[in-house]
Amino acid sequence: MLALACAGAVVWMLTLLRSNVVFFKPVSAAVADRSGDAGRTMRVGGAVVPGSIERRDEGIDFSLTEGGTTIRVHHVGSEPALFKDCAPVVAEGRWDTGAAEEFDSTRLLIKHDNNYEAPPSGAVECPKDPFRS
Amino acid sequence: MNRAQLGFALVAVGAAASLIGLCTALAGIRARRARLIALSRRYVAVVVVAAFGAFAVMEWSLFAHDFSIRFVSENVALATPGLYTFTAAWSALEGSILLWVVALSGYVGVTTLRFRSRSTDPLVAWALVVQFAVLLFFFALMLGPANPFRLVSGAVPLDGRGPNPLLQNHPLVAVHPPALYLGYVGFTIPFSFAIAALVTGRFGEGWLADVRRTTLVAWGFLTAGIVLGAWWSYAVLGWGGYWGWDPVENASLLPWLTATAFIHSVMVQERRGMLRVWNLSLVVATFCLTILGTFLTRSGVVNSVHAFSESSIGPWLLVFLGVCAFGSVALIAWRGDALRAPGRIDSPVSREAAFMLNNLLFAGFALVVLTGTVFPLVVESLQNRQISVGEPYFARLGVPLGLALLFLMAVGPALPWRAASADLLRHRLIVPAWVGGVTMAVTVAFGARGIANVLAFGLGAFALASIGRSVYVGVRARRRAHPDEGVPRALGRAVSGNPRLYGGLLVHVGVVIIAVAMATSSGWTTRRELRLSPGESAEVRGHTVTFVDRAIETTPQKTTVKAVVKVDGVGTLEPAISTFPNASEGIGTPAIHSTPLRDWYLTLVSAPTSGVVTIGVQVGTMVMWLWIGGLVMLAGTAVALLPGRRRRVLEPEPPPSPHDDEQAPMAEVAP
Repeated sequence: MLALACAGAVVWMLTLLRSNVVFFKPVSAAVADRSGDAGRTMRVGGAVVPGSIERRDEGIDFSLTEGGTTIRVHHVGSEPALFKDCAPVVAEGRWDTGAAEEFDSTRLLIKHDNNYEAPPSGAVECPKDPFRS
Repeated sequence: MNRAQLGFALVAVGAAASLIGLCTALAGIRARRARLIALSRRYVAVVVVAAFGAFAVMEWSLFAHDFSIRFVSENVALATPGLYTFTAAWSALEGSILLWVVALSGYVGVTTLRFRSRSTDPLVAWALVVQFAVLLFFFALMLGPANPFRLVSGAVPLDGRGPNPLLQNHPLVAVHPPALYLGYVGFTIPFSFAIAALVTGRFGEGWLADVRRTTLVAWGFLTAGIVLGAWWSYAVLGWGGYWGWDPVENASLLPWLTATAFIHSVMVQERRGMLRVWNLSLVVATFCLTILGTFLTRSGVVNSVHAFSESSIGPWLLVFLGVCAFGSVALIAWRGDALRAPGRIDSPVSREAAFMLNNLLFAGFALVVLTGTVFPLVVESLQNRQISVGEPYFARLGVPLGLALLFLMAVGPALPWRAASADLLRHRLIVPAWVGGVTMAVTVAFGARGIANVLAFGLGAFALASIGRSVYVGVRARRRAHPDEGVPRALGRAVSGNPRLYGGLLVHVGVVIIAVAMATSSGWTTRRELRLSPGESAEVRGHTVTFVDRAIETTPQKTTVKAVVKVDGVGTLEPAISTFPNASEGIGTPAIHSTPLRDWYLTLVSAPTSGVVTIGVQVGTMVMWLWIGGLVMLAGTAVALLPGRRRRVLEPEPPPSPHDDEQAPMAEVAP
């Protein structure tokens, strides 16, 4: 009886684990794999393109870039502290079913890591100290 | 001799003393020579002096701004304030290992002193061997890949880089890491005795009694470390939460879960002689999980707010973890049949059965957290894909496990050993159960929503009432025996007569407080984001929130941009963003106004530019009780550590009525 209950609990655990796995991809890799990821929750990482942030009532829109590829992110919900131009951001959500390269985000994370280097953003110049500008 | 050489020499002395002590003790045990074993104990003193000395040299170097030492130049700047210069000693990998060794040598020193009259006892001698081996490993780390006294390559810099901004923004950094380390490291002592018990074949109840106090001390520090960590997360990181199932948070929770299981299951072995293999396994698992936690925190394998450093010690820790785990499993297997316990469970409705269910739940909880934490690492190493496990996984599994544990906390302590009758259960639990039921109804009437939250309130009240009843029965019995004593005095006497029982109950009270605070803070929280110009106001939860103005403050350590915000009826709060010269990213500092009922939690979402400011406003409910609950848990641990009387003066549950007979006859066993 007890063994059966434990086995059931473990199966339940693994099922939940499977359904809650979230893949992380940098923008360029995410765009490359886009067709295979339709409808699945995932994380996309990159830097916020300066000047691309638009605030809406229910959230924000911005462009996220990495490896020379840029996508548009529609985020619903509040923005994290320190969200700004050039911030290294991870957006959790799924690809928009309609337009290409549009991502619907439900959760935004800022990478605080000291060692984290903002990905090279091509033509976009990110100032060293955002407070000075 | 300069500071770097002195520090490194002390580390080398510590390593050598650990190695020589290890060999001397082993030789003494093999040759059965008491003098050799006694000699090995002297090396403990050398280790303690070397470890504390090396730490002192590190602090001296930090305060002297000796930038020729790489660790100093990377973790302290001339402008770093005194407190954070002191705490810089553990703000990166190498210094953390040094702090680890200091704590471990302290534990080993105290243990050696405590057992000085039994030093030639093979059990104690083998435990010392294991302790020397663990010490040797960590000293060796500092001789090789994690040398805290390594010199800078090239010219000595004129100024250092300073600590990670997150580690110089709140005084909690002075207590959270040391508490956590004292917790982690302390489990080395029970581990060493468990191994000694296996090697010597004395795996009865003796070694358990020997390590009971150390285990409790370590558990208390670990509990403090986890609660302080949650507090730090709340007060520093600015996301408004306190627990995010982050891999490194999980790493601290894992050994706590197995150690908590052990603290409970020990009582079954002491009382009934059962669960010997299980208890040994729990101790081994706890120790291995602390090493795994160090690996997760310190090797840079996980992306986390806490993973402050990357280094090459990962493989070392993995190998050490493997040796400890496989060695222990092999020892347990080798002892095999001899470990079989003499006792068995008589009834599923008994104290020991409740403890077993408790252990099953804690072990299951640990399995859930371990799987969710390690799975991404395994996938990444096998398939080179980055994944994370979403929070719903932990929440969906953790909440029912936590609720089941709350239920057990209400029922378990009320159950007698061996078997309980239905009558007895009814007698002891009917009132607490009613209290729980009524509480659920009341909280629903007050707007509590969600089954988990309502159950948390109900089961919490059930457990509190059950604990209250135990205390009431104990005090009443004491007053019957000593009618001249007043209630406070009788309570004091009852507690000092059985500190273990009452300490444990007090810890349970702390857990209930935390559970209720978790439920209220998740159920009644308002979050808003306000974009305001100077002088503009907005309404939040019936209060007018006004952005008055911004203020800029510059010190050599940092530049702080503050928003002065007035919340009517609450006060003026100043959420801020600080920039440190060593980091391009600013660090937000939430402004928190805490009262027992409400927490106003303001964050500056973006630095005020062109007058407009974005402020995050969170009004949480009863958040403060999380920290109070933690304090109560610590107070309970302290009570449980009080020296108890050798023989219990009072039974914890004296028979107040004919129903309440501890030795219920077998015929009355409930089905």
